Amino acid sequence: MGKLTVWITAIAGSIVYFYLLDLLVMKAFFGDTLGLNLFPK
Amino acid sequence: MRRKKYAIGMLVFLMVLQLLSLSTAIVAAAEAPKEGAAQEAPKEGAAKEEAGPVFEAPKLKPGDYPQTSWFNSREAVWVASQVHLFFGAFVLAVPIFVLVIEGIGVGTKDERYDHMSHEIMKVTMTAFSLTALSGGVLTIFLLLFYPDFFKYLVRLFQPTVIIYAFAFLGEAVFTYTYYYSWDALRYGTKKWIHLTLGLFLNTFGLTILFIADAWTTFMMSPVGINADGARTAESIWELIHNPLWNALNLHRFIANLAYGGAIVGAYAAYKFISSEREEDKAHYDWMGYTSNFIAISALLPLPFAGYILMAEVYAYSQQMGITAMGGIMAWLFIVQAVLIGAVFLGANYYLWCGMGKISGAERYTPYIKLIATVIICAFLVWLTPHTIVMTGKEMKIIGGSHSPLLGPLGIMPAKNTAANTMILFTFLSFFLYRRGNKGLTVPWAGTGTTFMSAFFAVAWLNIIACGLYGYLVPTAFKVRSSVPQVLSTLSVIVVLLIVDGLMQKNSKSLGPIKWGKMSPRSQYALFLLAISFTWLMALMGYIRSALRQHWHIYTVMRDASPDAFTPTIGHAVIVATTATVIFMGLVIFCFWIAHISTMKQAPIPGIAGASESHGRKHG
Amino acid sequence: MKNFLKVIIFSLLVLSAYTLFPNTLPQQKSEPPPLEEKVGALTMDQFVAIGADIFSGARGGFGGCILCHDPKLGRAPQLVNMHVTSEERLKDARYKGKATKGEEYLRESMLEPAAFVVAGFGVPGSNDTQSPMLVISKYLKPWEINAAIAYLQTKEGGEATVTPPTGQEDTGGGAAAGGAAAPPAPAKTPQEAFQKFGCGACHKHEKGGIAGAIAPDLTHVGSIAGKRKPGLSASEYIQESILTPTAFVVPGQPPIMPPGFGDKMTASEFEMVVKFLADSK
Repeated sequence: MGKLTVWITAIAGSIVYFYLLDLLVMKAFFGDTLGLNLFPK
Repeated sequence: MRRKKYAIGMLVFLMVLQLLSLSTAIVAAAEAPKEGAAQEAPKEGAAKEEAGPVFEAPKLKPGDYPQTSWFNSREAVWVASQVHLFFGAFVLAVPIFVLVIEGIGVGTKDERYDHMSHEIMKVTMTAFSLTALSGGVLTIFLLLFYPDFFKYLVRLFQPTVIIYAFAFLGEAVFTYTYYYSWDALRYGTKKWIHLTLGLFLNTFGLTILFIADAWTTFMMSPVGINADGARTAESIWELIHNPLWNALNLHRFIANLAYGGAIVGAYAAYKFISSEREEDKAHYDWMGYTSNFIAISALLPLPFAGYILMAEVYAYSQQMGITAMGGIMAWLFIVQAVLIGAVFLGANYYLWCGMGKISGAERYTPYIKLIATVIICAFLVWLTPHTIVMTGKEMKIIGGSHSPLLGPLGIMPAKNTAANTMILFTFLSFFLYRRGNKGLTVPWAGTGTTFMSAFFAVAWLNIIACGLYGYLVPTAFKVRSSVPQVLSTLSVIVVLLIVDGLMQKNSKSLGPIKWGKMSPRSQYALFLLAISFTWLMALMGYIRSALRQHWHIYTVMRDASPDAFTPTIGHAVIVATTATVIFMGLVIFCFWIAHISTMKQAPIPGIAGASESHGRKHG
Repeated sequence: MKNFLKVIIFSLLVLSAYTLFPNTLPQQKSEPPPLEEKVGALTMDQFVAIGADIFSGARGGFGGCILCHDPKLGRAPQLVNMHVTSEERLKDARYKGKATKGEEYLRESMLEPAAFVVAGFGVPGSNDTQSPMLVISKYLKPWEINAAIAYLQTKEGGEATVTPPTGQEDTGGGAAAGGAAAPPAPAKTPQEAFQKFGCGACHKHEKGGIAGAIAPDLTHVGSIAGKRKPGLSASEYIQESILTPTAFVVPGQPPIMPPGFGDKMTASEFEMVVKFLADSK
């Protein structure tokens, strides 16, 4: 794999990971408010 | 084989004993009759005179507080309790990492670990006595100067006080046994017995910590009593398990570890600069590194534990939270930020100096400048105040209740971003140090490194993004945006350690670590760390205690003494420094005792008794 | 030895820096609120006068009964002829409280307002089962409540059935964090000012540490104050609201904010509160 490819994959993968992390947290805390209910009451 | 069975039998017996005592204590506490319940019944009837007094918090007057002309009673209790807490934190922390290091020694079969843990334990033996002594002084002062409050509190918490006393007994027994049996229980099964003794020592230590935390936090966030101080809870567990208890337990446990590591690091640093022989220098350099490693590892999660504690304070009483950070004590948190900057920069500086003795670490030198810059900038953000008590004139000069330019840097999204950044980059320093002399041989080393770099960078950007997001949203979202930040930092630590661990399989050394090749300046970083940690503990302890303001027990038992006022910050830090100086003096005494116990005078010919038998090495 | 001295000097230098820096910051001491002293013996006249002060807001720390029980405002029942009314209330079909005498009814109304809510004055939507009254016991000691009762019973010519304190009681301590009288020194923080002038009796402000429920929430007033009255900036509107509350009443709110804060606050307290509210975005 070319060096550039590795970088782009790594960065893209990390962005996906952290985006999902943020989303998960916000869902958990604010699911009902934002309409994304992860832990329905 | 029989001996093994015997040993296991002893261990099981000891465990059962411990479990029995714990469970009896819990059952006794749960079933303790509600104080005053028996007396309340007759009070219902017409004959009020027949009822005994219900056990309530006394309503005191200034005259109820005995004074002395020798010193101020509040400050006496303040200094005594702070010195006691310094020693307590130290002697609780040390057995934890001594046990861990001893365990590592068993696992790696490396003699150095065992030797070091033994030496550290020796240093702390005197500290155990001093902990008990300072605790005794504190108790005496409490009895002398705050007799009614003390009487009320110990009566309310009676079962725990008894357990506390027995826990001291247990701690003493296991401390002495653990230390003095070290060489006798050195290998094989006996070593495992020794480790178990250390484990018991730690359980008693934790019991002591958690009980004392219950009293401390109860004074701030009382539950289970009515407005007059009479107990309404069915069992004492409710009083113990008050809103701040677990937050303080967590915070103190982690902080004790960091603190213990820092004090031992200072010991090692001093021994290092005093050593003449190369092997001694190497030994103490290594000891300093290991203790610093422990201190930094505990330091990284510490801000989160502190945040949780403050969050619980706010949840319990918004008034108390505002008093702490938006009212009269706001400046104290800026002082705290200065201290934390000193601690982080000191710890990092020590690591950077350390890189100099690692062959192969030269390739990481450019990163150090970057890390230093980032940490300094983050520190400056953490330092920026927001809600400060100002006079009308000052507000006019600034142009509002907050500075229009720097004000935004003072609120929580900025602070959390700064804190996470400092932790992240300190971890990076440490990570590079670990990697320093490793020549990687795995085929995927390049890809792995790229991945870790990208992950780190994106994590940091995410932290910043969450921080910026916090500015754009209402309060509830603002505060919660700190959670993804924390998780980002933790993700980096976990992922990088795992990936790097895998990458270092079969790695070749680029050269030995030249233990002992450290500049004396680097050792002063360890002194700075120890002093800063100690002083910071005094400062934060003051804040925690002062949150109660003019209450012995918040909103229940009023402090009616002449000293119930909140002192100026200038005065408070003078008391903190006094306690610190007293502690440092006593710790130096502990180190000196440890040192002198290894010395033996050369025999003087001609003096009776100067025979062979005295030539045997002691201790 | 040289090393030892070097380390000691280094340590002392570091400690001096840590000690000196905070001494350059603004120094503030905070005195605790006055302890409740023994109230001493009071004559009936003095007792009733204290009750009058509590009613008018001159004493008590919450702005006074008159804030809501004002005949012009209709926010709470008028408190006239209470020596007669308090007995009549006991005969009301809806009365389910525990009082058997007028004095007990008055005390119950202050300590447990939900025991009986006068028709039409309950929290909207509660069908007169919930009272919007604040928790008086946080502000008044039991003897002060008696003083208020004495005032209510006598002000239109009735007889007081409560007795003034004789000086034998222990009136120290208590649950109220604020103490009986407002501190004489000017408030140093917006939070202190809110407590001192009783804003929390009606208004709520998260950062201000007050949680009243019957007047507009001030937590984010800074972002809407500028739009309330054309031509007035946020600060100007807030100033006007405090000094002359009736100049603009928020639609849907009764015009019950008491006037007269301009006479009670010092200029620095006023400026501080206005700035704080204007910045509460």
